[in-house]
Amino acid sequence: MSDKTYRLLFWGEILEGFDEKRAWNELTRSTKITPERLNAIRERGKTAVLFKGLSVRQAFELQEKFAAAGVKTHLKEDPEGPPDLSPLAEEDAPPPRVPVSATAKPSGSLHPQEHSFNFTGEGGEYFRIWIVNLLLTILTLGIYGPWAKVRNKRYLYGNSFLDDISFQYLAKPLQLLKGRLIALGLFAVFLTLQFIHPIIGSAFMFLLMLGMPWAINRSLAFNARNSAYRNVRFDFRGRTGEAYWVFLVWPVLGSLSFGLAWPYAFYKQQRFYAANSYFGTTPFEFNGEALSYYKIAGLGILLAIAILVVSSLLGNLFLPLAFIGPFLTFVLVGAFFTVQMSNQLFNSTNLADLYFSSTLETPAYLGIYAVNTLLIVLTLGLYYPWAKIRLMKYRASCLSLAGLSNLDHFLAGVQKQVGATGQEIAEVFDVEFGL
Amino acid sequence: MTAVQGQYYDGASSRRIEASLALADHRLVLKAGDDILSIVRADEVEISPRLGDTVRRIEFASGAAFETADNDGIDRLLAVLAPSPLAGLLHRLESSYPNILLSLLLVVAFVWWFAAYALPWSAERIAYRLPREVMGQINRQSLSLMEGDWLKPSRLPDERQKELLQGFEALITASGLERPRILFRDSEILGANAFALPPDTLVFTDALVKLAQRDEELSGILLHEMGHLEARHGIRQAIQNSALTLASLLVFGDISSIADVGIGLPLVLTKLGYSRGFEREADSFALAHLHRHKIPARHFADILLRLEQQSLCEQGKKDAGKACDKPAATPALFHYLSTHPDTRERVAAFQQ
Repeated sequence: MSDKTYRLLFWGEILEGFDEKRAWNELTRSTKITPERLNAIRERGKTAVLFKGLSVRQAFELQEKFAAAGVKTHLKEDPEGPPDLSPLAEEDAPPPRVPVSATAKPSGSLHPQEHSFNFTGEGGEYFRIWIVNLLLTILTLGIYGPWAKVRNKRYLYGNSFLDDISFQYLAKPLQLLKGRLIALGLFAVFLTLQFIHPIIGSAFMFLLMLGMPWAINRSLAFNARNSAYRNVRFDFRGRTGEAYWVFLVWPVLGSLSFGLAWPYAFYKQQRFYAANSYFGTTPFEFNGEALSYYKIAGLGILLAIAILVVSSLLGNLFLPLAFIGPFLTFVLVGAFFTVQMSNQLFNSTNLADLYFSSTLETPAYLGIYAVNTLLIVLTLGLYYPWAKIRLMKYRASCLSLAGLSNLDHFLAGVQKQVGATGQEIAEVFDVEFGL
Repeated sequence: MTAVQGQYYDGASSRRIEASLALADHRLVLKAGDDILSIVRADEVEISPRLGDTVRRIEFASGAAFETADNDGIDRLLAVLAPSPLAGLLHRLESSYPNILLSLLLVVAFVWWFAAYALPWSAERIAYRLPREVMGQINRQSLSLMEGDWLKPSRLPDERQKELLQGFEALITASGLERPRILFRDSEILGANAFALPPDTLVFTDALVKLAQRDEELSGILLHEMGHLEARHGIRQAIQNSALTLASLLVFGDISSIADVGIGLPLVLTKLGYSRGFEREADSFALAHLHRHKIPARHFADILLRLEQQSLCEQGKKDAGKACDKPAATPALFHYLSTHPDTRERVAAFQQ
């Protein structure tokens, strides 16, 4: 490998922000190319071989030297065989332009393609990562927490595939550490106040809760910007004011209206989430309608009534059934809402001309949930990693993306980083916006 | 050494380019076909640490990235480029079964030690060092929060209240205990109940007084609640529960989605376990003092049974619209979901 030699090519490109004249001078001084030839290269789009037979180190140093003067060069391996001793040659072929010329317009086949999601994590493997995380977190009295979290998320993202390419979680643990310390500090203040002076403690909590829409908004942005697919980061550009509407005003109105406005609040929340999300510079579009949310709520209520009636009828035959009725309703209707809301969100969302399809089903979800809960309880929590993997596998298997374009043409955006404080506060106070 | 095959993304778009990464002259050479995209030193790129079988990512300063599933290939490159005994340490920990077993044992042992010993021990120390004024303050506030909706002025006749107070006082003086403030309150929500507010307040509800068939039964309850006060159970429980919540937040970072069951449930079970432990302590306290004053302990057992029967009947009425004579026995599993030990177990201690 090391005996391979390299050639340095010039395609007539000057690096941005450099003086063309200076670059030209450097080229004519260090090489034997005449200014006339340089013009020809630039105007006719040809390739000049500046040097041949270079070692990696030489090639690297020359490239840096030219770059310092603003000359953009390209490296290529010398062809095998006896070295060509001619010092300089002009190749007639136009430059191959390997680096992507990205186009915003999605081009693709004429037939819709389906891109399927797939989750490849394994319970055993995840358990090993989880238990080591836990141990290190305990041994470091919690300081390792952010590292553990990043490793955990990297595993889950890295095993989530769309087509055959995985997602990536890119947050840095140190970013999280500061935010987590602030969040835990606030929580400790609350616990202490609650203890010493419950009324002031409650007032403090109330103030913190007033800050939650802000925290959720920041949390969404932080998560999106640290998630990538094909090295293009996601983005979230929700405004704080809007976050207050959907996470505070609408839910409060929902409660004041005896639940009548709740479906509308959920509709607003999903719209806020989806319509402010971006893949690189391409926005997700949301076309859900409030009516669908009322339909889901209506079905859920009918389901709840049906279960309550049946269980109290059966309760006359066998008393314990009457006791578990309310519990059963809670679990069944909870699963129904989770499934329906998740389907609703994805089925109303598209990315350019690619449309999501989510086909989760309540019975299957409920089965997984029941088995997970049972095994978690029986193993005193140690089954948790397997439970998580099982659920992720099911969710991924029900999700797909279809449309005419392929996934090659999305442009990455230039992004500001967002601090992790909001995200950690949202997590510590358990007000994250779940999907 | 063979080149590592993978995909290259330039960071400007989502376009995927098949590429390879090889080592030459202590530098990483990134190639697509026979075009060389980049030659860099190891310290100019960020190579993600190995994690299970997930895709490895090599990020360039320009924002471009090379991704590959060939983890072993990258490890071979790294072994030459930047050999370090720490490289892949976490992955080695996570891959070795003896290590995993050891981690598991350590985690379980630590959690158990913390929840069963360290936390109760520290909570007790803190509770006894807490100034009385602080506790008094908490107590007044809790009471003022409950007063009104939850607690209404007692509707027991004054004479009955006086009579009970005198009996209680005699018992307390004879026991050499600190005199508490005893309040009678009417409460629809709490039903027949009594509770202690540290450092020195006991509350009896009217319904409880009426449920008692003999005053000795109430003496038993008084001594049980005095047991809570003497050992500062209220404060200790508050400290333990808060610290447990804070500790689990510190370890898990968040309590959400299915973690609700995985982490939330053990948390609740532990807190309920603390509560049952305190109840047992208060029971033994009451039992010891009842013996000392030659009050038959079975009176306390009687009122406990009556209390349970009453609450189960009310529950049964609410759920099934049925009257009840004999409440159904609760399955053993439910004992772990209860703030108090099983009544039968408690009663047995007092009937001996």
